[in-house]
Amino acid sequence: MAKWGFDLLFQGQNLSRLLEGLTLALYISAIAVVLSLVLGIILGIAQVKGHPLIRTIMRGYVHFIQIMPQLVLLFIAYFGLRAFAINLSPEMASIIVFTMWGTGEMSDLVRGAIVSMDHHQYESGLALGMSSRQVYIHVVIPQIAKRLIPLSMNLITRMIKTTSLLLMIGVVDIIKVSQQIIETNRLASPNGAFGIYLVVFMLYFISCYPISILARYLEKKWRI
Amino acid sequence: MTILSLEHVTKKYGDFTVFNDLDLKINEGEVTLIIGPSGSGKSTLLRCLNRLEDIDEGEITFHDAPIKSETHLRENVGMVFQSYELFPHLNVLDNMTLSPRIVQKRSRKEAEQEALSLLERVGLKDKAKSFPHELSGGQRQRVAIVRSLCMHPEVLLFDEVTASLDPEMVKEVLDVILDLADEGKTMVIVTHEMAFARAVADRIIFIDGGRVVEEGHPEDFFTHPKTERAQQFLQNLTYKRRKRL
Repeated sequence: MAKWGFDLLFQGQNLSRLLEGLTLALYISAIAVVLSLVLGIILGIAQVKGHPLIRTIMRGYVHFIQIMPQLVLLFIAYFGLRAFAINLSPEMASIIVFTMWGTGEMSDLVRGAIVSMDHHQYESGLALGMSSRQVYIHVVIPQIAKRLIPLSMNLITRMIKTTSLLLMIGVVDIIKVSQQIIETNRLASPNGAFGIYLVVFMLYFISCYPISILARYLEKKWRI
Repeated sequence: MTILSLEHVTKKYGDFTVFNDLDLKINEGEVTLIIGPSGSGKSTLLRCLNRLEDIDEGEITFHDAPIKSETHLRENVGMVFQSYELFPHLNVLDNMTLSPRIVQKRSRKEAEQEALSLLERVGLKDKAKSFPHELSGGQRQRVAIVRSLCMHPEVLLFDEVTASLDPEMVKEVLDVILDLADEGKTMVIVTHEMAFARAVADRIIFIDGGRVVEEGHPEDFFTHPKTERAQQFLQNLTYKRRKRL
């Protein structure tokens, strides 16, 4: 055991520090997820129904977000903006970048779900005497939600995984804490990296796997 | 008595005129068959009758009065489409009772009772809790028909309801429509099934190029079409081999 560095977990407050790092990462992604879902739904609808100018801008934005590596966005937000005397805390910069990214991806999912709705569905609602609003509430939105929920859950797991980049701008997340523990104990426990990162792997797995299982379950259950 | 009528109706798609100054009366208890070559505007005509299509000129009247609102018209003029357009997220019973509940504000219990008796009539009572994807094409169309009936429409429109069905399922759907005809339902039907058209129709309307070319009793129309265009059309539906060994 000692050889692989699991013992490091139980020295001092290492385990609780790791968990704190994980909590911070999950906290940042939770805020970003909530903001992304709300903004993504609004902007996704705007991409289909909005003014042509809004649609063009949104399409450009979605492309930009999808092409840019998240790390570059983090660097721009944290280091780049200092050129304009904007000093964000690492956590704030992370939340902003993750929200921008999540909003872009989410709006694209919403747009896709709306566009893929068969217009016959809309018409058959109208043909039964429903108003346009009733068709949206009772026919269109429930179907879109069923398509969107599994997809947005996959986005959530991707966001949680991507928090592993946050140490690059100085967020003391779980990866950063692991590095610190490994560095501190380099001489006493030269193989500590194995044990610690295995634990990190497990913690990420425990955070993401239930969401991914649930997404798969809902996808199957709601397959139309 | 005329329930629904088109008066001097013109419909265009951009520069293309689908029909021009068209008149059509739908009488109570009558089964009107609209037939004609593809692209002649049959489906568009049908869709104008419940205002799923806007019209460019003319007027649609319901019981000799201008229509109150599109939703009011559609509540009274039901429509069944070619594509299976049941709501996939709802089971059969909920598909049927959704509109009676939210549009006509009927109680769930009463709407479900009626839905179940309609399902029984078309032999699908055991499918009440099934979802559309669990049904065959023919079953879905039968549900779509009774879903429309649940709204108590005065007129029912059928837009090529058997066109995307496997041949062995066509009869089960058409039998339901024949049954409704016997009952005296007012219906307007667009179909390619000529044998069915001949059997079910009280009146045939043959349209081509956006005009009513010929109108009449089905037997007269199928045995002695008056116009050359109709003769030609009917000839294209029959096959003859020139030689046989």
